[in-house]
Amino acid sequence: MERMRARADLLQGSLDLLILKSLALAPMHGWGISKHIAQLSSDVLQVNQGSLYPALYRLEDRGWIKSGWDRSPEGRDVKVYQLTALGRRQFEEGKVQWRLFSGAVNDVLKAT
Amino acid sequence: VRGQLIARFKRWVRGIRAIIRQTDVEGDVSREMKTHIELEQAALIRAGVSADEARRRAAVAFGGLTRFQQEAREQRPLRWIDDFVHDVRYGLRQLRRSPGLTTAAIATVGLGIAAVTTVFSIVNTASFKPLPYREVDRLVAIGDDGMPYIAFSELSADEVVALRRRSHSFERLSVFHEDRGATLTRPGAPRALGITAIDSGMFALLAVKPARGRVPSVDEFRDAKPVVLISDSLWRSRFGASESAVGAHVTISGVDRTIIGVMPEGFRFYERSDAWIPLVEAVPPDRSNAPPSTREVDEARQSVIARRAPGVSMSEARAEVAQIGRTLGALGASSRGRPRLAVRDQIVDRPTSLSRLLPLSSLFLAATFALLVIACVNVANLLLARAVNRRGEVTLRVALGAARGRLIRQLLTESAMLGLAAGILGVVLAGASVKLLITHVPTYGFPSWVRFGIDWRVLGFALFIMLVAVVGFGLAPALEATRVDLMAVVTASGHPGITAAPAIRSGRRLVVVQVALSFALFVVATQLVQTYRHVVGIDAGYQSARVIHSYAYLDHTKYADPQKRVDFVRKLARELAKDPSVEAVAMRSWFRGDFANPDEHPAPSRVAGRNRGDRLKDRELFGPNDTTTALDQSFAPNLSSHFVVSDGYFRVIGVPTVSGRTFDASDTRRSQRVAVLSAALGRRLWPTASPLGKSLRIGVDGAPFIVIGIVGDIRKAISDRNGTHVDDVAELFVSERQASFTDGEYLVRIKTDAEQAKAAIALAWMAVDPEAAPPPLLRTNAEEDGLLALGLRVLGLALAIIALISLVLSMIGIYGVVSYTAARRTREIGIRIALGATARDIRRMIARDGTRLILAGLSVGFVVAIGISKLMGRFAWSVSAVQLATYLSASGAFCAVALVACYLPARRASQMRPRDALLTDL
Repeated sequence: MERMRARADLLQGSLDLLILKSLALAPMHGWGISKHIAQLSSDVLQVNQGSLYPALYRLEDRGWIKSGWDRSPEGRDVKVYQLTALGRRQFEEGKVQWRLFSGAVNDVLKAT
Repeated sequence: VRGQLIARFKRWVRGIRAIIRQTDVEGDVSREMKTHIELEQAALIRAGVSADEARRRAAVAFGGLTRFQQEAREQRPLRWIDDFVHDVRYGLRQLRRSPGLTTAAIATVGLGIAAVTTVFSIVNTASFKPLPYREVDRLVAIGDDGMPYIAFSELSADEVVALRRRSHSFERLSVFHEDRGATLTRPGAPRALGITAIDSGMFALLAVKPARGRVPSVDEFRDAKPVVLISDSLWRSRFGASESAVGAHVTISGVDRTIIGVMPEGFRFYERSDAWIPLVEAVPPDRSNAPPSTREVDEARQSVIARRAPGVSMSEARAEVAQIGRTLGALGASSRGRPRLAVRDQIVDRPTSLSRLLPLSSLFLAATFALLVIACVNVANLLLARAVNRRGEVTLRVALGAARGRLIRQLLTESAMLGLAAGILGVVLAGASVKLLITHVPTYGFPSWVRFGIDWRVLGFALFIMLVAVVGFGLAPALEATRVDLMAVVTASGHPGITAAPAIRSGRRLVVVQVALSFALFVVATQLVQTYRHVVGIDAGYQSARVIHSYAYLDHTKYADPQKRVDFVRKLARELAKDPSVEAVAMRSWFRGDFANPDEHPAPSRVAGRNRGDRLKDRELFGPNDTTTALDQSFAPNLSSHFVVSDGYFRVIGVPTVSGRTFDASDTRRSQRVAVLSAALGRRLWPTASPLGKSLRIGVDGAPFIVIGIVGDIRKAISDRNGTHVDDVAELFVSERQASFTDGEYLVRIKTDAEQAKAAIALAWMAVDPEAAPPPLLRTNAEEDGLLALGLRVLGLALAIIALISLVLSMIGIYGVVSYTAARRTREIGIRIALGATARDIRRMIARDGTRLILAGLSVGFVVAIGISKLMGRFAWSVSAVQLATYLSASGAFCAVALVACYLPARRASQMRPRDALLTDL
């Protein structure tokens, strides 16, 4: 059961929102984002690297986030992503839409 | 919205920057992913996992690095450009890796493209080249409806005036009169000159102005002052491109004129003109008070060119002009009775000399296209073979998650680069060969605006052909290479791409196409060459190499009277008689039925409804005396010529007298009219009896001619709808003692050296009239005939070359495919040899394989060739029928060559040692 939950697929579009949310807190590198999402969701949401990086590039391409190489506290070269102003607006908008959407799905599921 | 625009712009900038720093970005992605694995690994170690285990788990958790890299890349901006650049780099690497294949492919396809482009550039020039005037599509010619083959026919002054007054369809309308028979006598030596008299509106209509000097003033036009504008080429040849030419004086056809301007380079209106003078416009005769029957015939004839007004369609202009013609006719206001006026959008005569340069241009295009297809097949086969060898690589990439469409695109990009290189090579070669062709084919008589070369249309065509070629030779191998069945590969125990069978199959299919096409080309070329041999190899029936036959091209003004031209030739003959290189001179003229003094021969009976003055039309109104009607029409086409000749004619041309006598001093205007027939005509008119002494009526003129002699036949190649065949020419002759010459046509029998005699003619010419332009290029009749067959020769030769190249290419194709198949079967052959098969068995096995291909190709080729021959039969230059012998010999020759191409790989296969064969890893 635990594994089933862990493998819960991310709904299309929700990954973008999760990434934006993570970056809204602080700039992070890719690994950090995936760990962050896993931690906050109590390991329910495992972000596949095969989805994460394409999503990062896609968001960067849209101009919602930007990236740059930086040195981590451990002295490792990492590529750090951070939210742009446009990205922040998109995040706010996305949050509202997600609440609308998830609320609607819940309403449907609650119906007997 | 603004933010999005900025974002989009930034995206482009990033994309372009990424493309420029291609390797950086590539490295970026993999570096980032490696960092990810390292971070994961470090986290695992922190959690207490051993270093090795941590590395393993981190890698497993991450998954296929390659696939992620690709997927990640797909999210990047302007991915297609990115991919494209990537593919180009990859392709270049691949092409560099096998320079032999690359060179062979580029050369083969380049040759094919060059052939097609060369032919197209000539067809293009001949059929699409626009005239060098502004908005040329609005220029129209207005002429006689009854003469559809020439652009400008001449109209009478009445018609011109009516058009000017009543038409509203045209912005401008001008008249001109072209004279191709003028002479420039000063400065320098006399030379023939084409001049055009133009009205004051012409320059504005054509939208041209002189490069130097000025156009004639209003006064000069009105009073037709003796001024002249000259062409750029005349200015260069006669005045050394000197600035002082403007203001200089010239004498043209006896009139002193002042040069007031030089036209820009390339300006020729009308086609052969080198000088332009003000036109004296004809005034319609006043016929207000004269009875209709005595109306003066208005001989003034002028050509009309007009520019359609904007917004007036061609059909509107046509309707209006036709109406004006009808009105004129109804009013009886035209000297031509019922004029039928027509508007033509074609303002040049489509030159027949162009079709001589390239008869059957569509056949030619098709042939070169077939060559290109054959070349593409070879390259496709090369690439197919390589595709099979590349299976391993491709399989690996598919297993790692590469998409098939992406791989196909990559392989096609590689082909496109081959194609581009071949295309460039092709265009360069085509440019060179067009130049070569133009210098080796006489362009005399081509209109000045025809300039051969490569223009944008040709370039566009070459690009199109290149794309066709790329898809042609690239698609099949690309599909083949990427057809990977992972399951099959896995179960085939480590033999990636063991299944080469589909690739071989498509290769073989392509070779069948190749053989079919080249066989068809081979047959068609053979037929053309045979036709040419047939035409030039004929025995003309006289020594044509010893006869020069020409026409006195003399100034139209000075020699306006035909009798003057005849006098000129008589004097020429007297001068030439003194020259040692000339044996004899004779005169000849088309017999037009107008006798010098017809009253001396009162016609016994006149055909009702026809007057004596009617001119005989060619091929009409002949008949033996004992039949009162003209001969039936089926006879007419065989009667090629009827001539008025001087006494010495038969001796000069060298045809023997078969029976009776030829003309002599005993034939006078008062004696019995006599005629001489060629044997062919005699046979035709009196198939059973001797024609001698029979009487013959010629035309409507009544008085019979008695046949006094039969002369030998002249044979000629005749091209008609039945094909090209050689036939005796039916000819009829009457004496100049009884009917007068109307033209200055002369024949010179030369002793030995043709060139010396030609020089003698030029000298005699000057002695007779020092002011006359020298005679045009003189040719012996044999040279003339050769020139007529030139088109056939050029076509046959070029097609033979194309066929030969295609033959060689298909042999290479057969060789390649059979070798490849044999190589694929190495293991099988090894087993067979090990089991006791002899070398001969193996040879036979491999050769049989190739033979099957050849036979399949030949049978398709047979059908194609028959089809083409049938099509060719519709053209003037054609072969008589499907010649079985040609087909059989061609297929025999083809089989022989093809078997050699099969034998070589077969022998190699049979010489294999079984041990080596079994060890071969394929």
